[in-house]
Amino acid sequence: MFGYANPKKYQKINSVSIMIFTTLAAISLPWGLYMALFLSPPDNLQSETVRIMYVHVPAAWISTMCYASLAVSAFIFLIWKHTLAGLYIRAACTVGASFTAICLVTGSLWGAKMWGTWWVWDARLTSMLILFFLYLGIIALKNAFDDDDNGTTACAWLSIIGSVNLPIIKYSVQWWNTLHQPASITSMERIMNPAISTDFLIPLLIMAIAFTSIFAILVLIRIQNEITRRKIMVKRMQTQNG
Amino acid sequence: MGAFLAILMRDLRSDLRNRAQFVMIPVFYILAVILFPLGIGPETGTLSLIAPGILVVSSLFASLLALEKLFSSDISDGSFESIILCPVPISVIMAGKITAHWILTGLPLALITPFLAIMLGLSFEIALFSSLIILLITIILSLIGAMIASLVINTGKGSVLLALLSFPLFIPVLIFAAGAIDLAIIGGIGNSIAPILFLCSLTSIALPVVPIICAAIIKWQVR
Repeated sequence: MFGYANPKKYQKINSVSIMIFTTLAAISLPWGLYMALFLSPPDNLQSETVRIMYVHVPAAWISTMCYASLAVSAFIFLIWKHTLAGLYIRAACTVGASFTAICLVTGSLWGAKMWGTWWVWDARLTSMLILFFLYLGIIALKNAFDDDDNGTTACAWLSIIGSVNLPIIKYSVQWWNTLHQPASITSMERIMNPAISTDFLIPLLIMAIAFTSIFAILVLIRIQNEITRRKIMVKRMQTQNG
Repeated sequence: MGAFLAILMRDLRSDLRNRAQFVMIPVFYILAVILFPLGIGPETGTLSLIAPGILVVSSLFASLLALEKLFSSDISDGSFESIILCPVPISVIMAGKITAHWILTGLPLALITPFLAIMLGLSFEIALFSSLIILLITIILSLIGAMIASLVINTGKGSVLLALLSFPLFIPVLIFAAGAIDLAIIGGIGNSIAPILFLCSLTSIALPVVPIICAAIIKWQVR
């Protein structure tokens, strides 16, 4: 784990993993989209609108998992000062914010059709909106510091403080009986014996793989950019100082 | 305990010397509450319906306004570094500072709340009850806000950032506090036990944890 704090060593596996995830996304995204848009049947009650689910649900999974991973790497960064964890926090917060925005927008479109309203102040929706603002807060805090390391440390603290929101999002549909339906896919057991039909489940899982790969590609490229940016900064300082 | 009291008394004394600063916060609170009847219209029915929200949201704004002053005066005159160097745990110092901050900014808000609540058309008991709720939430807001304030002290753009970072964390408090007063209006004070317990549990988690987190952040900020 600590060997990869060396950027040279890390960059080697970084480019390899970008390739792996690109291949994975190139296969799963067209396949998943084709299955979701053409092969899977329209839902009994929701008819064609159910297809929004194949974008909405993976985006929601990614946005919460991304925040959880931010909190974990924040711990790693604060305890061991691991450079890579810091780079991950800086790279993932923007990507996570985008996926949260996708989740909110698709959810709103779906709600407009199925619930007859673009937005309700329901527990799940509100807590996702809070998550979005937490992401924005982390991005703002990151940019508020002149020094990169200080900004990353502040972001790490904020992501740990903000992670109290995660269990609230997860259980909001169980604690409060709200308009948003409770989770259908809760554990591995439920995947084997699902609450939703396999006609919907298989495209959903393939789309989840595709979204996760896209998330990974974006984060890895952003980390790569950050390393390059810092190298340029160091080079520039060296030439300026002769 | 001695160090805690020493910091507490020092902060209280130094803040009481420039009164203008902490008189501003309750005045802001009163003005914010007064804006609502003027904006919405003076019908007592409508006003008493949204009074819980008005009171809680305004106290949220007021405590946000107060947060800027939690560390800024000490940092600008340089006394902060020497306080940090005292041979006591920084978490104790933080606990003292947060307590002093709450006494000067949170407590006055709770004390004026009953009058404002009656002006908004709530009954006498509910007015007293909402004052208790404001008392409880200002403690939580001071604690959460202290963490955020300690994060942004070195950025130089405190106020906007402070609002952007604290409001998402204030929202759960807002929901439960307004809910408690709402339930009390509908079915008597005994009706609102659930949100009150939730607020109490938030306070009892935040009370011991926040000074420690603040201390760790401050230690990093003033290396």
